[in-house]
Order: sequence, then structure tokens, then C-alpha cells
Amino acid sequence: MNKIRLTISALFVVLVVANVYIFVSGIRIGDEINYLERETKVLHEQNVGLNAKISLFNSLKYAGSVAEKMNFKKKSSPIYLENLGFAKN
Amino acid sequence: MSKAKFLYGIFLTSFLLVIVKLFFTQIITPQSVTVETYLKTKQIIPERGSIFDRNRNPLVLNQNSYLLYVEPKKIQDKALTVKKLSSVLEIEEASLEAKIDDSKYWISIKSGIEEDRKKSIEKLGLKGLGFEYAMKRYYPEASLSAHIVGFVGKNTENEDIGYFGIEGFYDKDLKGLPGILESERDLFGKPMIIGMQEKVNPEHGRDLILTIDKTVQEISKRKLLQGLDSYKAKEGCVVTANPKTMEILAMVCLPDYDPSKYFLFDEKDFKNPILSDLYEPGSTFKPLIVAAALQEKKIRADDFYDEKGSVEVGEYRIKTWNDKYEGKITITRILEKSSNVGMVHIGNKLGNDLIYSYLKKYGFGEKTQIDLQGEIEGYIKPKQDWYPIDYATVTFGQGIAVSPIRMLAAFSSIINGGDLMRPSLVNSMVDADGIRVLKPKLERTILSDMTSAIVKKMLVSTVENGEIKWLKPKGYKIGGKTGTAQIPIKGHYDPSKTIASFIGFAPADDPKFITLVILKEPQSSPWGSETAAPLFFDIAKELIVYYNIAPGQ
Repeated sequence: MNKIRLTISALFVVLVVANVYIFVSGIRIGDEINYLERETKVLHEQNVGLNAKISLFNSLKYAGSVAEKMNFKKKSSPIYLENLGFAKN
Repeated sequence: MSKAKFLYGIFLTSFLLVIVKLFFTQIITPQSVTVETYLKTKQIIPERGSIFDRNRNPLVLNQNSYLLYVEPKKIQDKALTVKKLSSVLEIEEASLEAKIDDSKYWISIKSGIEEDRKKSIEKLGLKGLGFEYAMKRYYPEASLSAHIVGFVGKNTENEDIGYFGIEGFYDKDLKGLPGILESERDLFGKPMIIGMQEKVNPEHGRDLILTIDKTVQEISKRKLLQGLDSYKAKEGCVVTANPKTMEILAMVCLPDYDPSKYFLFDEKDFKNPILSDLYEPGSTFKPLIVAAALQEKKIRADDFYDEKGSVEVGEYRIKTWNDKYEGKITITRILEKSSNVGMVHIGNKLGNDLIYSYLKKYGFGEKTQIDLQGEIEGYIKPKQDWYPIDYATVTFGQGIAVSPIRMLAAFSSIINGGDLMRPSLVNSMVDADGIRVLKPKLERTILSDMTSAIVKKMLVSTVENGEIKWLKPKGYKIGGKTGTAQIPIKGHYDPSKTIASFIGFAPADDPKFITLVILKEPQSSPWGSETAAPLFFDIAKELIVYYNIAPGQ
């Protein structure tokens, strides 16, 4: 009788410990999932933002605006040497 | 009573209390704790596909965007909140004040807020504000390809939907399919590991790789802008394609609109005139009739025509544009000097039935089926309504209404070996399964290689010996034809208003591009040869450099 009682008590203790362990693990994994979900969202937003930034810096529109700032947009007015007297001689 | 029995009693009572509570919660008042309390079902919105040019340069991407909302019950100082928000959002204080209704729990303030602005709002440290994440379209090249790509707006259910252009035509492909997340969560919103966790991933929209070349597009737009300014034209369009496949390399019309701020523009600005407007092609139509007559062996390339003077058709008199006549001229010369009377002669040789049948073969009166939203058919009268004057005038491109894209497709067929190709803008689609390439589609073959080669030679001669000969870059063989059409208004032509056009291709031996330039109501000169043609050569000079085409071809 005592042996049975001992076994049941032991089983009960094991179950309680297992239950507590599963419960705590569940909370911990839940937290982890929550954290990863948040991080994934942040990374995704950063990725989208960086992608847009890269495409802006590669764009002709941006190149044009930089060229304008650097005064490269002025039309060149080359001088054509039509009578190359010296060179011809 | 022993201690053990007492403890047992407490345990049993507690257990019974839990059972009674559960009975009430689940059976008697089940509405108080519903499945939704723990089971969160969320639709995962798929990402809309991006749009790239043929070299994988992005034309349309997605960008982070936020919806700013307020929870009035949580706001500490309403006046301060309104004042600070007003300066960051650039919204009048009075409008904000009226919008924030204290009796409500949640109020949307502004959508489409960019990241930078979101950060500056967060820096204000105001309570009762929040952001909801969304995505919006981003155009790295601004309005460079507005008429091609279209824009994304909202439908009546407040869902994203593509309008016009590629966004409209390929809306289903770009949109993708939403996913579902079913997750059992605790009261703090954390996932319960022993509960149900099911996720069906969304199928993101397909990325589209267009046939458009961003550089050719930029050249076309820049030159068209200069052209509108120089020739004081009301509107203008430039469309460039590969004549062998009818893959569109550039397509631009001005005025256009900014697709990221489409709501600031009028609906008529969204229409792409290249496929949604009709015009009388005028003399650019002549080579099509010449090609048909050559194909049917009704004329020969070395035939002569005696251009004595104007010709009478019924009660109408048809003249050349300058009322000058050169006597005995070749078929090539008819095109070079754009002789209307010469074309009437060729039309007579071809015959009315064949004229009509070739109009159908070239596809006039029907859509090209280009993959853009908003295409309209051209207009050809039913055959029984044609009078002799109609058969005469159509030979020089009057009395027929065509869309620029149809005109370009028909013209390409006479220089590419006779194949009428379907114009296309999407080269391939990319999704999780890989790349699907969309091949160019042949509608039908209209002309033989020989006819095409002869007409091509005639068109090179037209550029070299016509009025536009001084515009051509030296050393290159370029073919083309000018066109000047009057605008029909209330049954007659308005003499002061014209549509000037030019279709040209280069290099003539193996054309890499064909370009149609159209200028509406140019003020500096009404003639295509003095407006659209110089603009074409301006563009062609840059394209020759871009495609690294060597002189002599």
C-alpha cells in the first residue's frame, strides 16, 4: 500500500515539475517568438527603407540633381579650330 | 478532524469552485470569453510586386509608410498635442482640433507618413499617438515613366488597386495573394506554445521586368521637354521600340503626372495618348500604301509617275502640299517629296478592295493588345460607307483615325521583313517559382522580305533627299517619313492646328530602334519636317551613341 502511495506521490511530483517546466518554457518561447516577430518586422522595415534609399542614389533623378549642384549641367561651348594654319604647316 | 482531512476539504472546495467558475464561463455565459479573446486571426497582406526596367533598374518599389492615429482618451494635453502635430504634419490646427473627437477611442489622422516624419513625430514625446504600418509605392525616378507604370489607388473597399498602365493591366500579378496567421495568444498578446499556431504564408506579388530602357526613356523625356519648348507645342509624345519584336523601349507623353501624388492631378492627365488617343497619321501613312502596292505587284520600285498637276476625285481636287509638280518622278521620289497626287496614283493602281484589305491587315480599326490599361481601337468606316474620295485621301493618311501605338506597329512591319508584331512592355515576370519570360508575339506576316527591303531603301532615300536631309547625322543611314495632319473639328479641318509627326529608324541596314514623334499644335511651324523631324534626329543622335552604332550602317 505504502509502495503504491509512494509511486503515486512521486508521479504526482514529476507531473507537477513537468507541468511547471512546460509552463515556464511556454512563456519563455512565447517571449522569444514575440521578440523575433518584432525584430523581423523592424528588419523588414529597415530592408524596405534601405532598398528605397539605394534605388534613389542609383537613380538618374538623383544623378541629375547632384550634377546640377556641381555645376555640371551647364552646356559646354567648345571652340572649334576651323583654320588650323599652324598645324597644317 | 485530522489536518489531512481539513486540507483535503480545502482542496476539494477549491477544485469545485474552479469547476463551477468554468461551468459559468463556458456554458452559462459563453459570450464573455469568446474564441477571439485568445485566437488571433490576422490577414497577412502580400507585398505588391516591384517594376523594373530591362536592365533591372527599379522603376517602382515599395516604401515604408505609416498611418498616424490618436487615442483621445490617452491624450494628456490636447492643445499642446494639436499645436505640435500641426507643425510637423503641416495641417491647420483648427482642422486637427476638429478631427480629434474626445468621445472616440481611436481616430485616424493621416496616412502615407514617411519614416523621417514618423521619427520627428515620435521625438515630440506626445502621449496618445500611435502608428500603423503599411506600404506605399515608391518611384525612384519620379514621373519618368508615369504613363507606363500608372499608379496604385484605393477601391471602394479601401484596398490597394492599380489604375492605368502596367499597374492597371497587371494588377492581379502585382497584387499577390494574402496569407493568414492564426495564433492562440495569452492576455498579453504573446503566443501560447501549447495552443494553435498556424500560418499560411502570403504569396507576394510578381516582380515585372519591363522592356523599357530607363536611359532611352530619360533621353526621350528630356528631348521631348526641350522639343515642346522649342516648337511651342501643346502636347507631345515619343515612343521608341525594337522594330523586330515591337518591345517598347521608351514611351513618354507630356504633360504627364507624378504617380506618387496622383490625387493632385486631373483624370485626363492619367490617359496615355499613345494608346488612348486617335489621330490622323497624315503622310507617315504613305509608305504603308506603297508597301501594299509593291507587295501586290501593282507597281514596281522603278516605275515612273507623271506628276503633271492636281488631280480631281469626284468634286474634290487633290494637290501636293506646296502645289508644285515635278513631272516624271519615281516611286521613291513620291515618298521623298511626299506627293499626295503621286499617292492617289498608287492608290488607283492598288484598287479600292486591296486598300481596304491592307488597312485591315495592318490592324487599323482594332486594338494592338498591348499590355497596358486603357487602349482604344482605331476607326475605319464600314466598307459600304466608303466613297471614292475616301480611298483617295486614305493613301496619304487622311480620313482614318489611328492610335500612335497602332501606327508604330504597322510602320515597323514594313521595315522588319513584313511581320506585324504585337507591342509589348513586359519582358518577364519573377515570382517564388522563378522567371517566366514573355516572348514577342507575331500577329501575322503582311509583306515579303523583298518588299520590306525595297520600302526600307525608299525611306532611307526619303531622309537623304527630302526636306529633312540636313538634319541627319553624317555617316549614318537613317530611314523615316514626316507627317503633318490637320485636326478635324466639327466636320472640317482647322487650318491653323496641325499634328506634326515623324517616324524614323536606325541604323537602316539592321534597325535597332524605331521612334515615333508626335507634336500637337506646334506654333513655331505647322510642318512635321520642321518640328517632329528635328526632334527625332535629336533623340536619334543620342540613341546612336547609347547603342554604340558605328557610322556607315
